[in-house]
Amino acid sequence: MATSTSNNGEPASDTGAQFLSAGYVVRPAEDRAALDRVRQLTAAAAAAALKIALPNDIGAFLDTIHERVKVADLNDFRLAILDKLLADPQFRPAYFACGRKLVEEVVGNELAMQRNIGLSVQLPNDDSSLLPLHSDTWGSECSPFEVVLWIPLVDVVRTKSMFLLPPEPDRQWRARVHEFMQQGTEALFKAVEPELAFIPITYGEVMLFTPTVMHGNRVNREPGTRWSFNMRFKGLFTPYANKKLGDYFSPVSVRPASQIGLSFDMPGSGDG
Amino acid sequence: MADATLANDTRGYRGYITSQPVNGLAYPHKVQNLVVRDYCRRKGLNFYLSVTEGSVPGADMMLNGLLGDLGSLRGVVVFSQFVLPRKREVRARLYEQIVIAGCELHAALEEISIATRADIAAFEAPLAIAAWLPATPYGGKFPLDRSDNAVVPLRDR
Repeated sequence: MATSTSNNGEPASDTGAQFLSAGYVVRPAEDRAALDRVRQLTAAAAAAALKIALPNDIGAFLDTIHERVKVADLNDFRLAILDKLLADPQFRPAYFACGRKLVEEVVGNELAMQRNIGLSVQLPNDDSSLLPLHSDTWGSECSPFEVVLWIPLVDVVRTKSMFLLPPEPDRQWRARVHEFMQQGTEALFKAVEPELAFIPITYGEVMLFTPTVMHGNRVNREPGTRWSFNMRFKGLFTPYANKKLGDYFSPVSVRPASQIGLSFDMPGSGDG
Repeated sequence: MADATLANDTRGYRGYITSQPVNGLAYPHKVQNLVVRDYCRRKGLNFYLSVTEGSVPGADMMLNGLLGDLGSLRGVVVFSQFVLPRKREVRARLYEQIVIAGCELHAALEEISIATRADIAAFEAPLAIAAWLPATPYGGKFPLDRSDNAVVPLRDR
């Protein structure tokens, strides 16, 4: 049930209340220069993969990338970009700077951050890279304590964006998921479709959402290509599922008191 | 890794895999070797065939043997940093041994490494935190009951 108070009775912030009721919040990037850097690094990696000079209008270049990349080459293209971004030490700090305070407000200020980068490039009318309706926590890989910082590099709307089922209808439908086991996820999608929200986001904004609720994407029927990143965060000391600290998450903020606690040794027993 | 001053150094990086569970999960040797070899290929490390630790809990005989061979190696590539000894002070001695020998320690699964003392804190942080997770809510692990396709926290069963 959505609530406007935290479970210890203190008033939840507007952001917290909205996150609980809608399952997501959209906010302006906290560091616009960092967001522009993320986009610039991505566009430069895309231009390098295409062996062309980086065009002046980065936004238009990304939005019309379907004019230069065939569906058959899309995954190799995407992986080439990711290789470059993963090797760039500026990328993850810049990404975190786009929504750090937002993540801290919703999650906490001792955080673990996903080590790899999720990048989605969805060409118009391409059905090869869809993410069907799902909840990350239904599998064994994801902990429900995770959130996703989702950042588009172009304006996204309707099917160019992602969809999400708000927590309250998600709770109701989750109890009925077993009814769709034989029919599959498309049947479940059709059932929940009237209650889904496609989230419009303008370049310059970021979204934080809970991947515990049903979400996914559809064939992009808009004229431009969607570019979006997703990166998971969670409280450093909250439960992990199979996406573990070390191979999947790395600590990004450990407060001094925790640093002391982690390295504290009890007094020796004196017996050697 | 590739360093101009070491260009003529033909020593390689010895792989190290284990027969014990790693951070709560058991990985077949074949999978561990695939991860180690792929890591070495991508990082341009000259891979030497892995040694395999035994299955006795806490056994580290092969690892200790490896440390005795550091003089003939450029470094060690362990499958995961979680195959290292559980005790912090034992790991600290191991890091020191490797650095003093002028070698490197790589963890293939986590893609993290120690080449100098400055790298130790970042390498050690996940291990130090994970050691405390059993003392946090839910024992630091999201519990699932998947027996009937339901996903139910243990507290609700």
